[in-house]
Amino acid sequence: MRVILTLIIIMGISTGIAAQVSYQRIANADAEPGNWLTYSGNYAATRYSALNQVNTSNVKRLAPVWIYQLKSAGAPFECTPLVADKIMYISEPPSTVTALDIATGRKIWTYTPEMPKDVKFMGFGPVNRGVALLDNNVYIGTLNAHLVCLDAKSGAIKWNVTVADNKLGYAITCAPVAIDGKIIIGISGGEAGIRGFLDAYNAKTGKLEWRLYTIPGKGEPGNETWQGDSWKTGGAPTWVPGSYDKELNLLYWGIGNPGPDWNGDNRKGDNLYSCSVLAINPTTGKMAWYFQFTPHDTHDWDANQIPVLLDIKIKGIPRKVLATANRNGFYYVLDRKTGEFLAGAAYAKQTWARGLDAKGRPIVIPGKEPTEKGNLVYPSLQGATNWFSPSYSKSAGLFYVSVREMGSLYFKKEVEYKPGEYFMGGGEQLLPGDNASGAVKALDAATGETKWTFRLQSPPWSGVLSTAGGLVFGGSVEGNFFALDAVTGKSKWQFQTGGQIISNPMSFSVNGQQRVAITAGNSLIVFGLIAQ
Amino acid sequence: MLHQFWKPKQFPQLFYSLLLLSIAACTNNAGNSGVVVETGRLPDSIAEGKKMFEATCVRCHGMDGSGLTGPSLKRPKLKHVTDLASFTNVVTMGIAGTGMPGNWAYSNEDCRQLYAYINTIKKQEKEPLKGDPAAGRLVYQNSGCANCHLMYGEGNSIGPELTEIGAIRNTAYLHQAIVDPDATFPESTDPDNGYGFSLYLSVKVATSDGQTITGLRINEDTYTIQLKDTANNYYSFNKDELVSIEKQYGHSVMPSYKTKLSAQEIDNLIAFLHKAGNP
Repeated sequence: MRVILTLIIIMGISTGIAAQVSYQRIANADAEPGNWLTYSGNYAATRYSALNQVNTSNVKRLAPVWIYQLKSAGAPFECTPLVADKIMYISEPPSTVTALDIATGRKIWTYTPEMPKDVKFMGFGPVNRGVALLDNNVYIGTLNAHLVCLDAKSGAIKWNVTVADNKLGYAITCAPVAIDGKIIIGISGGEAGIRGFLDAYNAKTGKLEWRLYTIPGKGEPGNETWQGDSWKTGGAPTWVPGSYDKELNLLYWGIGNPGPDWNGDNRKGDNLYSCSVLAINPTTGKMAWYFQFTPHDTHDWDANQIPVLLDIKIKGIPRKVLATANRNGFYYVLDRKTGEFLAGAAYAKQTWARGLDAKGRPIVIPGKEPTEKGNLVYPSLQGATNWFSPSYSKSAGLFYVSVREMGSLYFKKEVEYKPGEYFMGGGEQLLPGDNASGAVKALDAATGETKWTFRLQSPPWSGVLSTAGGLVFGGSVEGNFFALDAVTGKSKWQFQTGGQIISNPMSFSVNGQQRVAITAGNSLIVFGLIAQ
Repeated sequence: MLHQFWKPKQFPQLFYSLLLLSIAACTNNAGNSGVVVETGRLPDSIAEGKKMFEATCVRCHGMDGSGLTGPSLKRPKLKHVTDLASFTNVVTMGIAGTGMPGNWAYSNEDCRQLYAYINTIKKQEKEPLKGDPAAGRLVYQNSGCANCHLMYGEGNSIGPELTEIGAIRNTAYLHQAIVDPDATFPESTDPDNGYGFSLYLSVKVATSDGQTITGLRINEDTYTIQLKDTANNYYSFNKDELVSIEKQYGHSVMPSYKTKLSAQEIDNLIAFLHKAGNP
């Protein structure tokens, strides 16, 4: 009898460990802050942790608890780990998935897809930014543009589908987004003359449910914004995850640059929907509205920043908004039901626009296009910010963003499309480092007004995490992992990790103890409070 | 037009490269030594390669390929390049541990065109040396260079090591470094330093206990800075514990030898340094 009872208890525990990460759980992720069930922690993409054990008064006691080291070093480690039911799921570059014990960092299983030796990754490193969880599965997009479904308990493959032809420059670095029964995946390849799209796959079977091209085809509205056949090779990739409003049933996704990047001579027009955000009905795959940040971009200012969904007051009126700090140097607030422009302001040095007009369209200063001899413009191609995530703290009412203050010389040259080759039409030369700097900035979420600035030695490649402990975590390329006071921007703690930080912080808890995790160099470092 | 954004004091190196760029242009106009062939006379692939070279490579390799902060390409053999495949690899992936960055924006065809142009540079004559290397060795020994520089295992390690300096700097750069060291700051190539970190930057800090320390910056991040003074003492500071940090951009701790050495002695010294790394 006792044996049977023990067995029942053991089975109960093991069932508990392998609990399903249902859509409902992800949709209500804020109710279980000890886990981190999706890329940004929640569908609204606030990258905010409700855990408050680590706070402004004790953060000085934060120290590494365990470190996981990449088995194959050399590529940037850009993953945001997910945590569900005592297991952490990470992606290692280029496309390996590993499950770790959250208490010790010890490996439970690992899966490495077969990858052709000549896999193409054009315009970026052989990186991956994370996995998605849904029910008992883990999903990963691979560098050679496959989407793979793994069993969360064992890492065994359930299905593997080809999303696009890697030989043409299509690749996946994006973390998938799991919603009810569907896996949404974005594509990279904006420097290879692809035609961008966003795909939804049946989570159980891997069947393609819809594809939304980010460049309208012949006869579709918006196609007239492309000269001649330029729409066929116009780029507009979807390489950063989107956010989701379950009440409105709208998915929000940032769209990348038009191609060729720096030479717009043969693609005259606004080039929709490059450098835009799209609102998409995930049931049908149809676009509900779009907003273009940078019409006819020639500076590679992708809008591949994750849109943050906020319920805030704009001019005293409660609104459901989408907020984003764009790579072009401006912060935007849009009505997320309609796409109406509500507010906007520059949050970094920019020299290409006088400002935004009443509809949010940039008032472009003439003569800022790339030239054969090079034209100096702020921000640089790498943008005032980039793919790394911002964060929003409801309690502080502030939108936090990592900012790159750097200009560059933009060059233009002729280019002809050849399948699977670079299609960029120019280049850039960054200004020397001592004139460039970085910052974490806190913006008034409703207006974009800068409330505080924490200066960084160099332009960063790390996103930020805000917490109920009143902290904002971020990282530097020199390896500092730091915590700032969310209200004042004053530094409260830092740790030299010894490696560049090119990723996003996240937080979870194990046995009631809060943890904060970041990748740095070739390591994933998990921090917790140590005894005084 | 571009200069309105650039303050030479903050960008000595870039300013210098622009300066050299205009000097090189003047030299070409004078028809001197045929350093750069007119674009119009070049086969298409070489002309395209030249355009790419001028857009990307000149900042380090100089307008005429004879080197600035990067090595001269006017040499029959390049250390890391033996054929088109190795050239493509160097251009797209960079050379680890050196200042050569990878430039993934270049296609195979771009690399082919660039290689065609580099081959025309490789065949050009080396710079003529005015001085005598043996006499230059004596200038080096008598001028106190070893007080700050390490060469062939001897000397002090305050400034850059010079054992292979001739392989990475051209004679114009060496001349500039001797007569106007303020204009020749190298940049770090260590990616952990962030982009374009100036090496040998003189920094003066005031500590909260009233000390003033001046040293060369070894490293810096958002929170800390490390210095080494001219007596080779090493310092590490938390920035928030310092009263002030003054970065002396455009000021090298190396004195100018413009009036300390005769023109002939400078030429001899350059010839001696040029030989280092160029057997």
